[in-house]
Amino acid sequence: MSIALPKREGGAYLLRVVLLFCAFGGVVNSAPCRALDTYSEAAVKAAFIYRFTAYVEWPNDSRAQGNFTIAVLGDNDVAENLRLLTEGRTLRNRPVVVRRISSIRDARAAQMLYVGSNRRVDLRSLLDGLAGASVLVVTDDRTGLESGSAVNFLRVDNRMRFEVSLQAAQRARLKVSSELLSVAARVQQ
Amino acid sequence: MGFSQGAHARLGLRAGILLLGLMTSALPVSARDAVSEELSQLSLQQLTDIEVTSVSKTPELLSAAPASIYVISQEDIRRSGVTSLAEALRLAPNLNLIQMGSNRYALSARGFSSRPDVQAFSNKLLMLIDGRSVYSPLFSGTDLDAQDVMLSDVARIEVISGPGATLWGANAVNGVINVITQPSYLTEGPSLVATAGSEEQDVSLRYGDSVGANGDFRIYGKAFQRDAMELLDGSSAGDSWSRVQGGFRSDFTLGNDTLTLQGDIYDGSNESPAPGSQSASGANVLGRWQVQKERSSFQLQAYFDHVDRGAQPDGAPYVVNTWDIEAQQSLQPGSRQQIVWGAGARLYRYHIDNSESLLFEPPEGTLQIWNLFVQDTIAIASSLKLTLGMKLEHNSYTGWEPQPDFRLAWQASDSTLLWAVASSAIRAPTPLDANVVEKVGGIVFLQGNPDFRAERVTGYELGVRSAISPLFSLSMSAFYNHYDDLRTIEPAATQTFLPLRWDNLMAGHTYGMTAWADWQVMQWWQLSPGFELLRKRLHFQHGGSGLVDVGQSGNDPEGHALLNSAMNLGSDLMLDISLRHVAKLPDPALKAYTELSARLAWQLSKSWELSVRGINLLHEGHLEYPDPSGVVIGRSVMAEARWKP
Repeated sequence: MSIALPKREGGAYLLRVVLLFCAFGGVVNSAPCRALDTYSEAAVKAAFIYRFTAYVEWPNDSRAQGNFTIAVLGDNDVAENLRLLTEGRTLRNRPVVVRRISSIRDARAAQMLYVGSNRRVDLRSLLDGLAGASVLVVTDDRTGLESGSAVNFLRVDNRMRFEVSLQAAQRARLKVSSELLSVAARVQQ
Repeated sequence: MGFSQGAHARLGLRAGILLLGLMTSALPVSARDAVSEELSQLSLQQLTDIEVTSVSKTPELLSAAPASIYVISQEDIRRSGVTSLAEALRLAPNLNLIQMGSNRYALSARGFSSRPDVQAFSNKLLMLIDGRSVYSPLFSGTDLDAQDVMLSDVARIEVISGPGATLWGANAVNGVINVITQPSYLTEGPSLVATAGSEEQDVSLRYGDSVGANGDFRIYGKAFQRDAMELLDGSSAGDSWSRVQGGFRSDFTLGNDTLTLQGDIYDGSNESPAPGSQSASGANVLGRWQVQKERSSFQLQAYFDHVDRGAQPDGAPYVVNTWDIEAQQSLQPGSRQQIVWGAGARLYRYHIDNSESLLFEPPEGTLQIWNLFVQDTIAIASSLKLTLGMKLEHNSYTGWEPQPDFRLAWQASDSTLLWAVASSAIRAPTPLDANVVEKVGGIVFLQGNPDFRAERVTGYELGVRSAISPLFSLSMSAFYNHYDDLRTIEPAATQTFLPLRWDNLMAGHTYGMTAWADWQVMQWWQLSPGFELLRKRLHFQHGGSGLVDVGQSGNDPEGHALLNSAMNLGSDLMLDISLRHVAKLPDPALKAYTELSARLAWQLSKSWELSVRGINLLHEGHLEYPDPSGVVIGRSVMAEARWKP
């Protein structure tokens, strides 16, 4: 299949051509349809983490200043992907900073924390160190929500899903929008 | 969400990505940034639709578990292409699986495998499927030809080595196998797996959906057929096998509470040269109610299980009905302590159809197991936790048996955990031990012993688990198990040779080591080696006749090793290879063997995956147990199609 380089106005025509060829669910062995069909786990998690921010309200949001910090503990791949994703962007009108941290204390000043599944510590005692802080904690472990995180990734076959704990969000004084809850695989009160 | 709606979303997705790619293609953009750019444009819903590729196992946070635990993940099961629960268990380096025929397996951990010629059947493991205990109360072993699950809906299988009675339940002498299926909210939509091969054909189908705002369910059906294998002389062993199974699972969330209801029903038919076709059928239903609070959780579980087996080569037809109820609470009385305690009661009612050569006196009866347990985990220092546990178990034959458990866990660093364990467990007597009467030509050959004592193990273990680098993790444990009152064959009376009788006159110890590692060699290639070494030093106790040597405890190899390789070749191809080596069997003797299985899968589209798989590829046929008990396990290939929109 050959596509002539489109002029800007030809975009719509190209879209129809592409749709026609890609319409057969990827059976057609053409590069544009197959390229980037699958993504690395770290990239997808980073995309989710980035997206979650749009569905959560922090206390004193409108008056907040300074950077919007996403702390990452124990997963360099996700930290890297988050950096690439948020470079030059703003979240909630604040410049985004992705920080790799090594101690839970450093997360108290952040708005979000992602705890990588590489981390071999007692998740519950780790998250206890955040008591009182308004940090959206995202984990990737079977016992994530039980240990106190508000959002936990679930991997089912080849798809990334997540579950939400409203109790944990409430404890951190975060408001979670119903849209996030409707996409979640499971919501725990 | 119907298929067409999903298809439109996907078309839109691809078109959007392509368009974006083309519009920005004039600017030089690194591959990484392009991916980020694309992903950042996707909505939350679209992100859940995307296919994620990764070869690395998502390591579990296992530090809360000071024990030798191997987790067979959903990914391991999927990529290996195994078609039955028994075959899935081969993936664990801390289990020894011996395939003796098309429908016969011997499963053991840290020794005490089967030895059919002296009536020894592997009987020291506890297997649980979603909390339901599946070992047989009649002889303590697990019928792997009757236990199965829809493999594509298994979340993980935890294989725990060592005595695990305190937390897990009765019969956890040498280990526990905990099969856990996905909750139904993770198995929505249809899923089909169809396999056709030179020796076996199977199909399994599942459909899941939500029920109202707070519930989900799934129903499934599977059918399986395996051809007979061959004897050494090339003739058929006549042991073909077929099975159908179906079931459901539903989960409901009510505030902080979760209610789970599940059940299965199955019917299988095993052929054997004598006595011909035997059926193995059963049904079960289980309910579980869990309450999760901030500092505590509570669980109540009850189940009913019905097993109906026709005559088998080594047994008599029987029916066993099981009723079980157990409650468990976990609480944190202080910031440094976590207590789990619980109680349970189980009732078995069995009825055996006595035959001329195999009788049970009495042929029917009721067995009860009551248990009370408590486990306290205390943080004695910032990185040191002591766990003290005790289970008091009461069984119908020997009354109260205490089973203590002590563990010390040291979190040496963020990525390394060391542990030391001392624990004890028993195998309670069964009707086979106490009530059996075996006759040959009308003469009583072997009798049960009504005073049979429980077999006991006291196990000691030292272990370490470490994520040495983000690319390499290792788990090693060394064990020493001391056994008492192991079952032996003795003459019943001093003057005559026959009849023989069961007694508990063997003791001794086993020791060894288990280790496994995960090595991310490349981003697209992971290697997972594992091995186990075992030495047995058993002897007869005072009064033991030594009529049959200590090998009657089981025909155990001194070690086995496996190497799994998982590769992602490009974005659509997966190649998984599994190499295993099992050391020689001592008595009856069999030489060591090495075998290989491989699977190549092609992700045709988001919904379809096609694969070809070959098992036992290195030899046209091999024995895993000497003949006549074992038959030739032949090389076979199969093709599989999986559909999950």
